[in-house]
Amino acid sequence: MSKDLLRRLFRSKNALLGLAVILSVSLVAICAPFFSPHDPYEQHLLERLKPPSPEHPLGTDAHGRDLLSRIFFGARISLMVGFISVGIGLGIGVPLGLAAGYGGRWWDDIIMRIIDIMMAFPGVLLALVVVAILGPGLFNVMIAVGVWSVPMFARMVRASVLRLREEDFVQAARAMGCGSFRVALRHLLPNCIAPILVLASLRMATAILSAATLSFLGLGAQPPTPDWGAMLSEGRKYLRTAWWFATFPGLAIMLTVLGFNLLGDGLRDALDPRLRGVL
Amino acid sequence: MLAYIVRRLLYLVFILFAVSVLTFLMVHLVPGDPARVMAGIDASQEDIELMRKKLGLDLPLHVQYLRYIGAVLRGDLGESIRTGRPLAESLLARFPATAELAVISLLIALLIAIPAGVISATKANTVWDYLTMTTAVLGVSMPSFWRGLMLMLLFSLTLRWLPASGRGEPFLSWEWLRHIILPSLTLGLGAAAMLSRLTRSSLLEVLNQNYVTTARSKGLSERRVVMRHALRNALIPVVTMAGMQFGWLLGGTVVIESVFAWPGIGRLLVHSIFARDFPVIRGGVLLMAASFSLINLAVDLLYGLLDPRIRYE
Repeated sequence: MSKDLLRRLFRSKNALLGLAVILSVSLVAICAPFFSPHDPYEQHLLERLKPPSPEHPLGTDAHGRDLLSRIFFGARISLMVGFISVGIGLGIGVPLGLAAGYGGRWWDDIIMRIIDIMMAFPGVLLALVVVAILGPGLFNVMIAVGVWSVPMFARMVRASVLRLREEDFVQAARAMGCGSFRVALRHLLPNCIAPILVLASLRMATAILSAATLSFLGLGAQPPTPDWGAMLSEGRKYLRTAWWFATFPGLAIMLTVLGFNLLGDGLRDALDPRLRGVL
Repeated sequence: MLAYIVRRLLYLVFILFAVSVLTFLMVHLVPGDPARVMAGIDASQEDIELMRKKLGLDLPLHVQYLRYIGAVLRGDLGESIRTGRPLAESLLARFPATAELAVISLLIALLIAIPAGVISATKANTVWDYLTMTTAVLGVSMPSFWRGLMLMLLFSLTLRWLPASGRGEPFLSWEWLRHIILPSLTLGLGAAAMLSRLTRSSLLEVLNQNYVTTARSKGLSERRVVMRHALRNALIPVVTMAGMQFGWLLGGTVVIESVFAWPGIGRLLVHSIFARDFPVIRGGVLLMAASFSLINLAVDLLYGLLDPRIRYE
């Protein structure tokens, strides 16, 4: 990333705010054992469903576990799910997009038809289908959310490649004898980095939200894992008697997702304002 | 236009065929023996063989698919392993609940998003703009099920104004309205956040065009310029997005139906995933994907009608 781009990025208040939120959540995730006032797994049945107090700043859950400590440890799971599932989406979607955009008509037709079929499942339904096949569990949720991201990355990279492939520098590379593989990897891919970065940030937000949704439905992380979605799922049972139990994990999800959304929007405006409306 | 419609219909047939193959293969992609998975952990070898025979899993794969698609085309989606009830019957009984939830949510989304987007664009870079757009980005970042729980906490458990779960009968009665407000508001607010951002950016773009300047220079009031000249064009992408959102709302009902115990297809799907009731999962997914594809087709055609500049290659 050039200095100019960094300068533009740092001029965007939203992007800076997003970056600050993400860094804070990451710091909490890394240093969870040092920041947490209690063990997130330790149960104290006499302390169950206690409201926020100096001892337990965000209260306790139905097993008397400290909610703040569990939220701190939950940051690790949410970020891990986000990074791994976006990694799966990137790892499969980007090569597919490159092949569709630069591999010739035949590749384009086949890949885009597969993408269209994947896009025929509305919203979180595709992830739900994958979990239905593989069975519930955090690892399967990461795969499911990753698979759901594949068509987004593939379509976006294909669109960028279609725009780039007629450019002079690509023609020049071909004229100098570069093979298709080399042109795609060395010349086209580096020029798609801006939209990939923007989409990755926005997909991180969606991935964290979707994984929390699946965990909330009971299909993701299983107890006693301190997962935000799973905590909310348990907290809803006590909505009437312990409002804090379902409130704070939700706020943690919202804050983290907000960070990635703000960074994604800021990156888009700084790197390529033409993407506004596309991403 | 006619050629385009025919081409899109043929393409829809292809997508539906592919979705049917995928949903059919779902059972076979399950790790391990699908008959054993569906018969349950306590099943004896005899039960497993019975399940295999009942589902036709002992037949060659292509014969199984032909039997499956033949039955689907006759309107027979098979029966639930758990309840033994014909699937088409229970899905059709639940489809109206899911559809009405998605429709009302979309109406709420549009009712909030368009005025919010217009205020934000016409008062760009003022406190109103920042306030609306901050609310919108918060709305996009908020998990829908959490928004549902918070609305439930406020309006059902604290203020006791609205019921927290279930669907009121009969359709369009006072009880029906009281029950649908919270789930549809939960879904609609999420869609409104996205649509208001789009309305704002689309209107801002249109307001900079020459014909708007002409309208202003004719001496028209700003209100008339925005409402009569700019908004009509600015709403074209919003309408398209709203159509797409409708499909997404259908998907979103899966979680919201579980939060509010709404008796729709989404809740049935989640229950069936736990019960490993694959015929129900297959039928529900097929129905939702087919509805989504039909809506997408309708949105594309509507887009062509709304914007005559669009040429279909």
